[in-house]
Amino acid sequence: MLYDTASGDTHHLTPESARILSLLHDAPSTREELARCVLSSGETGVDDASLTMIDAILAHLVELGLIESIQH
Amino acid sequence: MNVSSFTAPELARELRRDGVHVRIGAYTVHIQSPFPAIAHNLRLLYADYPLEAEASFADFHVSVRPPKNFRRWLAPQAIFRIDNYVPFKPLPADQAYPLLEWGLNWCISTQFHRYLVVHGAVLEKNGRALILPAPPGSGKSTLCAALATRGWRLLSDELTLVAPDTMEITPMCRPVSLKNASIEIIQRFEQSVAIGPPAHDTSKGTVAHMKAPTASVQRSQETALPAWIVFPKYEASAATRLTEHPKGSAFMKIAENTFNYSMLGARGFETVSSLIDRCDCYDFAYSDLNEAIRLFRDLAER
Repeated sequence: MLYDTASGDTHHLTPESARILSLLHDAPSTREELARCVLSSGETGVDDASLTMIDAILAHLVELGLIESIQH
Repeated sequence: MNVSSFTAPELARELRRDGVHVRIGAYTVHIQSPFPAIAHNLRLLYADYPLEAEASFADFHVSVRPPKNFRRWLAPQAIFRIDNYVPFKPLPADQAYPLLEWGLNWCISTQFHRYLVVHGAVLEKNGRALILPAPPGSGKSTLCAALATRGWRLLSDELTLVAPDTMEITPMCRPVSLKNASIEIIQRFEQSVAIGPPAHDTSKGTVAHMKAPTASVQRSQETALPAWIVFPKYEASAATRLTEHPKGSAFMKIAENTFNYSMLGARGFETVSSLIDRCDCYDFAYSDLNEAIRLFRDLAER
């Protein structure tokens, strides 16, 4: 569960979404880095399906106003 | 001195003139009304409640009176006021007593923000509180009334008041509001209970109130700590079934059923979090009250 002090909204996040949010709270990350951490793929490559799932979660978190995309 | 200390004519006279100060658990309400039905129901259903002195502090000054216009003769109505504010439209005069009960619920749910105010019944056994949050029509009040007649202490059939700092639940023990078929079901289930006269054609159908058990009223100053959150659902012919409810979903359902969740902000979030952390959460389907009673007895003895 997450309480957004800025909006006053309460969010019920999936474990994966919560993990991603926690990682992004610590430091900005790329989608590949997030996929490796969240999906436990370690040093092995990240497949397209995993990246698609990470992208969907990130898009949802952006929509909720909890994260924003930055260029690097 | 309790409400029952008055004779019926004395209570009707006091209500018509200066009003009476009734202590209901954590608060005192000053009630004025000329309606005989209010005097009758208060004497029947609030007999065990202590009276405070006439000049006492009251948390709420409420009245239920007819309007001062021609309607009082043509189509008699009742108006609920708190401190001269009218929160609802007038209702037919024969709904004066339910209007008082609904008005008292409104007072608490809109003003008792020192508590998290959850829309749900709450009962206690062996020092542990059972919270039954549910929308109208779920069988919550029927189940609550049945449990209250079988050894569970009634804290409230409508509003669960949780103290954010201690998680203690403060009783607000008042008559149980029964609707439609529930009135007869509870009458048959426990013939010794006192149920007030029904009011027909209200917005909730036919409504009648069951007197809270005397022992529950007498323990209205004793708080209880929450142990279970159960979402009840009456289903005709359903097997009695208690199943675990995921805590994340339980959190959201409690938040949705809390009157002042948004108003309390982060404090509301933290209080609901603590409540969910310390409670086992279940869904409960039932159609047989005796089976339900046995199941909750077993739950309390675990």
